[in-house]
Amino acid sequence: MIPGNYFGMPTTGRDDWKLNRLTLAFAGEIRQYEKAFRDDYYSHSLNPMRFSLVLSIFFFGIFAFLDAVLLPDLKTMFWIIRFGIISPLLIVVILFSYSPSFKKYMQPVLAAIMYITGLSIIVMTIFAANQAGNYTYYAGLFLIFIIGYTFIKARFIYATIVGWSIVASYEVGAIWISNTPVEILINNNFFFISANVIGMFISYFMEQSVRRDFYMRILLEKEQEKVQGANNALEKRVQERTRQLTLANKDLKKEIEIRMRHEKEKTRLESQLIQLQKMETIGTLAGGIAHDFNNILTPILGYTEMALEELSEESTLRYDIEQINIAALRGKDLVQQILTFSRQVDFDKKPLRMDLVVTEVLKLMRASFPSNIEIRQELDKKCGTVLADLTQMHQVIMNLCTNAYHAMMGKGGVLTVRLDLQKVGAKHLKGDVKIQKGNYVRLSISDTGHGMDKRTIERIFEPFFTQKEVGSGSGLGLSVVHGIVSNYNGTIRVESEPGKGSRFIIYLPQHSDHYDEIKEIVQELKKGKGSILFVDDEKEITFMGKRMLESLGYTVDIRTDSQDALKVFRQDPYKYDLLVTDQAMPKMLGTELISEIKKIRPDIKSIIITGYQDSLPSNAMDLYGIEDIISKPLILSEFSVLIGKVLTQNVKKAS
Amino acid sequence: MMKRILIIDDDHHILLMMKKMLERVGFEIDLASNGKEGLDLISKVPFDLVITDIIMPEKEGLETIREMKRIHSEFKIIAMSGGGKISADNYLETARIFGASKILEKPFTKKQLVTAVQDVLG
Repeated sequence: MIPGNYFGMPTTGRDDWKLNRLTLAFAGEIRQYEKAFRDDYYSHSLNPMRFSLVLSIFFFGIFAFLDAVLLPDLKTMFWIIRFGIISPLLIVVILFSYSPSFKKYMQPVLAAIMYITGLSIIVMTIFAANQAGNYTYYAGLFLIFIIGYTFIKARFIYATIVGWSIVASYEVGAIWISNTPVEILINNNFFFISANVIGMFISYFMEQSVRRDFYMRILLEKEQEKVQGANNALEKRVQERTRQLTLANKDLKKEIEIRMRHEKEKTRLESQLIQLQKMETIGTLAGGIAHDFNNILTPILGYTEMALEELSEESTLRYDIEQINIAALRGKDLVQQILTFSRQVDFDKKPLRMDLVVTEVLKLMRASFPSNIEIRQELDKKCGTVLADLTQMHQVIMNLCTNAYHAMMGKGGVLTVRLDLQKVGAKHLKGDVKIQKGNYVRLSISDTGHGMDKRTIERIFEPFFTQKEVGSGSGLGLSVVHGIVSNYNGTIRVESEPGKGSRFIIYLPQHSDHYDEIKEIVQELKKGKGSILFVDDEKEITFMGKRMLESLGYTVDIRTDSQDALKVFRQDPYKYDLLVTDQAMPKMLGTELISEIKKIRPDIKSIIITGYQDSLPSNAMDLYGIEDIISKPLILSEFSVLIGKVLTQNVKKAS
Repeated sequence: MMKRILIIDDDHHILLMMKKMLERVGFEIDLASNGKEGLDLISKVPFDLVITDIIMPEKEGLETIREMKRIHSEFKIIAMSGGGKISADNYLETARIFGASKILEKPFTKKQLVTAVQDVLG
């Protein structure tokens, strides 16, 4: 509740609310608002003032009717006053109110016209009393008071002065000019003074109220400004805080991202480390197994050998013991592979140009691939060299290409072999715990085959893990590849998606960036002509051999069964110029097959392929009449030269 | 006079097999199942040749070779191994440096063994 003052007017409740009691002007602390108030008052008063002036003209005119009825003799003079003086005067004031300078003169002008109008009524009252004994015209002054104190918007002080001036003027006129009777004078004065006093109060309270409203408005504006200021400050703080929060949020997000990346990286490294440890453990285990296995194989092979020495050629035990020998030799070969995987076999390291090695292997693979598999090669010839063993590199590339072939078997697809130089910096290092900074020759072999799932990828490098049917491979292939690549401080990566294909990427440290000074380590393929019978108990090898030899220009028949091969040879002994046979075969050893065939045709030339050269006596070539012995894995260039040499000797002998 | 050979290996099967192989071609054979036993025997009996395995319990092969060479630097030794934590090649290469005249990788054939022995004994 706003407390009221003794007039019942509400105050602001503030100490600085102070008005001049008489003029009602702002006083004390709030004096400064006086000018602003007057401006405001002026602008709010203009229209009501014009309206009240128009109203005044209207009523002043209407009373002309009264003049005509009550005082026909004075009509002319009164009408001149009404229409000739007062109405034009009011019209002039209305017009003047539209001028900018009116603001300055508004209150005095209003006071003046109020007084003049009032005076005109007094004049008419005096004339009416003197000429016609009519004392009623004074009532018009009440209208002046009503309009003057309220409607016309004169300020209290002006209205009051004018009000009392009019009363005083009436007294003068009424007493000295018109000799108004005393009782009428007293009567009129009662009405005048009362009306005047009431008008004063009305005017007083109206102005006070308007001023209070104005001041309240100012206070409100001030408060609003304060609130607005606080609001702005708050807004600013909110904005600043929001900006800080956004930044913090951004940082937080970034940090979370980095953390998540680190976490991911950590998990990846951990799993890689675990994988590495696993591989190393398996390697150590494999090494131990290999050692024990060799010790076990030693007496088996030794006693078998001694037993065979003692057995007569006709003994029925002979075949059985030979089988033991073959099985043990296979075991020995397996141990060799395990040792390769566990990096316990040293090889002959030489600087190799991988582009040449890849080209050679692909030449061979191209021959053994079905036509629905397309081979694409993109080899950068300026990769320099890697320090590695040629045979092992052959093994790696052949193995990966063969796997790709298996993955695309039947459906066909594209085998892409890429070779390029990759600078491995700190950024790349993060991904691999093993690989060191430097230049790497990167070999990527990708297929469009069946691909692998995550679980499979995790296990493919473990020895004896295979996806092929049982019996179609030892499962050592990729573990050997892994062993070889690791042995050269390289690394191997696998990307694969089920149904889409796989990509194996091998990184081998670059040995030197010279690439044109290196002698071509790949020998020219020696082409030739002739008919060859190729025997090996492993189907895949016979297919590969056939493709290989046919690509060199030979005609090739293949057999996987030694007895079957003997039968074929017996049917047409002169069909073939050369017999190429594996040594370790069930039913009959390669050397035995050669012996049997020599019985049919003594001059037939033969080559033995063996993974276990040791198991052949050093005089085997003379003993069995073999032209040459070649060890696995078969390398096309060596093989082509050897066959060419053997067959040329053949021709020489024949000629 | 028959040449006398000492074979040291922790694998009894291998010892017996080698004994049989070498006796067939006319050598006199003694056996020891570890380096310590072997060194004991050497101090009692004069041998023309010692064939020793490398990875053995009790006294390890390389150590045995070194000690034998310390006793008599002209001692003829053949080292053999089936590989292990590092490659057989590496072991045997080391054995050669310690003074083994020849090295044999397990498994070997009778012929390889006999040839090696004959080579060393001249």
